[in-house]
Parts: sequence; C-alpha cells; structure tokens
Amino acid sequence: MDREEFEHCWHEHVRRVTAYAERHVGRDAAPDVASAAFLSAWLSWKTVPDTALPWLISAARGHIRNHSRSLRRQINLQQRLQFLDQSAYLGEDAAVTAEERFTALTALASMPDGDREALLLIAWEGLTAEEAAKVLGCRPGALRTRVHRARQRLDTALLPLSSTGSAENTT
Amino acid sequence: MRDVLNELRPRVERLTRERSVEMLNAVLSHQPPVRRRGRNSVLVVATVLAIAASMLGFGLIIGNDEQESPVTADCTPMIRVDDIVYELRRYEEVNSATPLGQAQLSECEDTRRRSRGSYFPDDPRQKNAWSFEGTNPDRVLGIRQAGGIFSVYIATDATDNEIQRILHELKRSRTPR
Repeated sequence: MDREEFEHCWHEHVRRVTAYAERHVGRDAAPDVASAAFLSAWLSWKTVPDTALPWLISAARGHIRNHSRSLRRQINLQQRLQFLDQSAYLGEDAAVTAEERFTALTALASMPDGDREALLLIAWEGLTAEEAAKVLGCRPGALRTRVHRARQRLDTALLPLSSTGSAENTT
Repeated sequence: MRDVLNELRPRVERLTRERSVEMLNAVLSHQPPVRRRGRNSVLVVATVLAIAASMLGFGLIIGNDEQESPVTADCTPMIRVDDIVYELRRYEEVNSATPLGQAQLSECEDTRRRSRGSYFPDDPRQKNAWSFEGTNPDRVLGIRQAGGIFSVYIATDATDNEIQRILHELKRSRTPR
C-alpha cells in the first residue's frame, strides 16, 4: 500500500532530511524544504527507490536551490558558518573543545561547496560514496577525491590544536 | 587525531514528533496524481479513426465518453469495523487510546480504466483498531502508526462540521509533553 510505505519512509528519514536542510537554509526554513522534498516523493512515489534517503536529499537540494533563488541571494561565508554552527551537535557530551568546534566549522564553511557537500553527505548524512556521488551528479571516483581533499583541509586546520594539547580540555 | 567531524554530527532528534505529524498531514493532503496508463494510445487510435472518417466524408468524429474519460479513482484509505466504514482524515498524536478489535483495511485499485478506487477485498488485511478517550467509536477510530502516532478514521457519513469537531476534540485532548 503506497501510503503505508510512504509513512514508513517519512518516519525513517524526515529528521535526517530536515537536518540536511537546516545546514543549508537555517533552522526556520528547514522544515519547509524537507516537506517540499517529501511532497515531491509523494507525488511521484512509484519512482522513489527503496533506498530513499539519497533520492530525498537530491530533492531537498533542488528545493534549496529554488529557495536561494527566491531570496535572490547567494549565501555568504558568515551565513554558511552560522547555519553549520546551528546544525552541528552542541551537547555537553561532545568531546570537542569550543576552539576545535569553531576551527572545524570555519574550515568546513570556507572550503569549496562541492568538497564540503561530499564530505558531509558521507560523514553527517551517512550516505555511501556511491549514493553521495549520485546526489552530487559526479562519479564515485571524483566524489572520493573531493572527500579526501576536504578531509585534508579539515585535518590541516585542526592539526595546530591537537599539537598544543588543547583537545584535552573538552567543553 | 580524534574524529572531530563525527563529534559534530548533527543529532536528528531536534524535529519534534508533533511538528513531524503536522508536516506529514500537510504532505498527505496532496493527492498523488492519478496514473493514466494507456491513455495516450487511446488518443492516438481516436485521432487516426477521426481522420479516416473525415476522409470518407463522415465529418470529424470526436471520441465518445468511453475513449476520452481519464482514469480517475479515489484511493483514500478506509477501514471497516462491524459494518461501519471509516475514512482516513488525518494523523494525530493521541495519548489516550484503547485497543478495540480488528479493523478490515481497504485496498486501492487506481491503475485500470474504470478503477474502483478504495475497496474492500473478499479477504481484507486486518489491523488493530483503537478508540480514543472521550469519543464515540462508532464515529471515529484510529490505527496505530510508527512512533505512537495514529491515523484517524472517521465514519464516512460524518458531515464536515462533525469531522472538524472530532479532529478539534482530539487535538485538544492531547496532553502537552
């Protein structure tokens, strides 16, 4: 039954898709983007594959582009950093210092969009390299290159902090 | 080096269940488009026949109702308990519900011409039906969904006012968490 399958898909993925949208459009607009992605899925349910998350994230990406176009503005570094900061985990149990957090998020915000997307689709959204490549419309090999480049950049930014031992003072 | 990126991975519990249900209701309020399998071929045949007829001097024949009518079928989910048929109206988070018995579930047929839409097969699937505190089970029942949410089914003969009243009551009876 289509509706039951859709509901199951909803409960399984809506939070992950909303979290994905949150780091692109901010907390206020994220539920609208997620709803729009799921509405696209509902209206063409027969074409949504069983492993629905990559499809939903692709749909969300389309709606995020429309959202940005409707606002007639490109998101700048400061806003990108703000959205990343809003969506990244901030709990007392996170074994990360405030300085590490800021450094990592700044490195993520300032790297090329394609590299950041590749890295976070895998590290945060939990997609495989093949699924992430499909979402970004590139070959898995190119995707791995982007992820490698992004990781290197992130590690380079964090390296001075780990060498000074500040990581021991967790927040 | 510790995996800082993994430590910063967003937790996804931020979206509340209540908000999630609201969003789901909004999405499902849109009916998926009705499939129109085979309609193109019918139109092609009708066009060829019409041209052939006009060439024979009979004038342009416009397709009859049989050829032109698109496949339409209402597949709103329904349940049946003790010969009362209920139709799905919305999804709701309800805290106080009691198991009532087995409900028969409708199936959907919307791919053939002259489709029946929602119907009860001879051997329907069954699920537990639940009644909600303070409501009449002859008028409204629920089927439990994942995450403790209920799909709310209201008797098919209920008026719009009655439907609104029942849904309002259910929303009001929800205890804030």
